[in-house]
Amino acid sequence: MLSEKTKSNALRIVNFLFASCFLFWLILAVFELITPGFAIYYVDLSLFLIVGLFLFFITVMLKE
Amino acid sequence: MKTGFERFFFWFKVAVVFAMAIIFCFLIVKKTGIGGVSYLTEFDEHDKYVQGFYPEGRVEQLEGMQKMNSEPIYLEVYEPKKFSTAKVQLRYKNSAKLAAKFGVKLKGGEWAFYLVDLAGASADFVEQSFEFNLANTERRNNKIKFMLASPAVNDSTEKIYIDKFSIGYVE
Repeated sequence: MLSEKTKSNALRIVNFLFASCFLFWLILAVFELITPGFAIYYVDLSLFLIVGLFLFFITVMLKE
Repeated sequence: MKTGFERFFFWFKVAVVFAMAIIFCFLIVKKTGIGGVSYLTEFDEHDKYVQGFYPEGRVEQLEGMQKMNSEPIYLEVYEPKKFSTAKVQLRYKNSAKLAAKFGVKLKGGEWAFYLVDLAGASADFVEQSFEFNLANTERRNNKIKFMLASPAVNDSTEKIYIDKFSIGYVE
């Protein structure tokens, strides 16, 4: 079993990753809308969805 | 005083932000197309920058080449930003010497194209170079469109085969 402190630290990391991934995805999506082809040829934007879901499930597990 | 975790978390955040900044800079460099951009397809696999030739009904995909069964057929190429000139090389086989034209879509109507004759007619593949001024070219979603037209293809048993397309954008 993880201690409360370890859980809290892990949650901070996961929350930071979640927020930064979402922010980065948002920036890329806005640039993609402004100038088509900015991101989609080089970065798989759906990857952020998979990473986001993965982080979400980790958050849920850590909160239990 | 920072604990071990706080120190780690700080450097972790720096690393993540740095990685994202690097990716962002890479995308900006790609978009600015410094020094020109070139794309090449040999029609052997899906190319993300060059889409075509299409529509599928008029074009048959063979191993490493495409066969033009009827006309016209189109090709779309990604252009990261507005360039002034496109240097295109097309390698094709037109053994029946069918009259054919290749060109770029211009602004001002559905059938506004700047077309150039396909000069090479030989039993083997020949490569022809074209230079297009892109000042009046139509751009949709940062893509420019090319057309290969040959009315004679529709009635002929001999067809035109294309096995290489390359484009270099110049400022």
